[in-house]
Amino acid sequence: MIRIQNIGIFSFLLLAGLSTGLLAFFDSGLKGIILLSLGIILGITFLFFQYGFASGWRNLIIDKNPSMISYHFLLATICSLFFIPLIGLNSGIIGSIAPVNLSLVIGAFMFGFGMQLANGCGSGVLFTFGAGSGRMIVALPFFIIGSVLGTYILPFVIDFMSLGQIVIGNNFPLFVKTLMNVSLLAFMFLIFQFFARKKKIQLKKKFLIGTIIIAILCIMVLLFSGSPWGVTYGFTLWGAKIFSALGIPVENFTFWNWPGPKRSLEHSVLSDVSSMMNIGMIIGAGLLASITGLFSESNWPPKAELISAGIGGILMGVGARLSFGCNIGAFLGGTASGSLHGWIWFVMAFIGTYFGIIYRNKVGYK
Amino acid sequence: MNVKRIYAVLIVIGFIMVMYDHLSSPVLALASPGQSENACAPCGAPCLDKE
Repeated sequence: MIRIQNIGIFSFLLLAGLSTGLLAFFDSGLKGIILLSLGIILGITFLFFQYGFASGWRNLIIDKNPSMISYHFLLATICSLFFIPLIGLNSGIIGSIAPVNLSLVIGAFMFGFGMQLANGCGSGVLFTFGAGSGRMIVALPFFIIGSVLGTYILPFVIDFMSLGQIVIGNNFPLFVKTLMNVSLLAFMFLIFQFFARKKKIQLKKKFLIGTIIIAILCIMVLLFSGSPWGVTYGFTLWGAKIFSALGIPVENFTFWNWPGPKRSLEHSVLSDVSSMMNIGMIIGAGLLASITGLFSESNWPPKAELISAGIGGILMGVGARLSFGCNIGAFLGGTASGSLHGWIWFVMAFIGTYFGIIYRNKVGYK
Repeated sequence: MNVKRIYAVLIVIGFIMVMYDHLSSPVLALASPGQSENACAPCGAPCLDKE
């Protein structure tokens, strides 16, 4: 029998989940309930499997262990196998396709650097915050502030050195386009697996199962919401609403006058897919953490790491807006949609990660 | 201060803010900014060539 370790937090999160679910149902019908539930399941899955991007990339640089990063490419491979045909065949479904420009290059680098300072990417910050991590209690508010700053900067730089949207294999028939993108991603998976095997690191069943579950959930999000899963836009919207309530006129920013962001700023936070799923993810991770007793293990990290988490949060926030998302929205969603920006995001965020690790060594992260 | 206590306070404040925002704002069916007209990025940014 399951013994709940933190009954107070568990009960509150359950109540919050049920109330949000009820409101989602009244406003968006089954779609609302399904997306909130998918968010909750994603939160539970990420926490249960400890599915990290930041640590996986760090493992490759520090320990020359490419195992975790290979799962990330397997995840993108499975997603692209479904994403590209679904996007191509259904006009109601859009991909995560963004321009290739200078802001993408700089923003992704900032994100990769910040990700190592905060010890988590967009999804990582979300599910570990949900599970009561002291570090993320600091990183998340700064992530939110940073992403609003990003909305101020983005309109000034978005057209600078822009090549526009570039979709890999766009001039080919849908089948060939899918095959090209799936092959590219599968090649990366196999390359990283090859090096992992050379180091006698076998495929771990746990992460393989986690990857497949997350891939299925991502495909369901695309089917039910009409766009790939994204984390950081929700943070941006939360920040803009808080700034606006404090009297800071974010509604005058060019970003918030573009039709999509304007719509979300003027309407309930529960009318935005990313926000709804983020709320679900926090609730899901929190519920699992309260069952397993993870909250009792939560402690504050050393002061230097806490300050770095705040700086990392700001960098990730600004970086996510400048580069059109995080590991989920830009890297996973982008590459799985066949967008070149997803690949450039990966390369630049990886370089940022390298410098982030140098910073970690200087600060003396434990 | 205890991490768990601060977490609990933040979760309660966050929930109240979500409910307040929901009850005081107009509601639309769920959507992403990238699904808006002329959007050229997931955040809803318009495209240079479509402007």
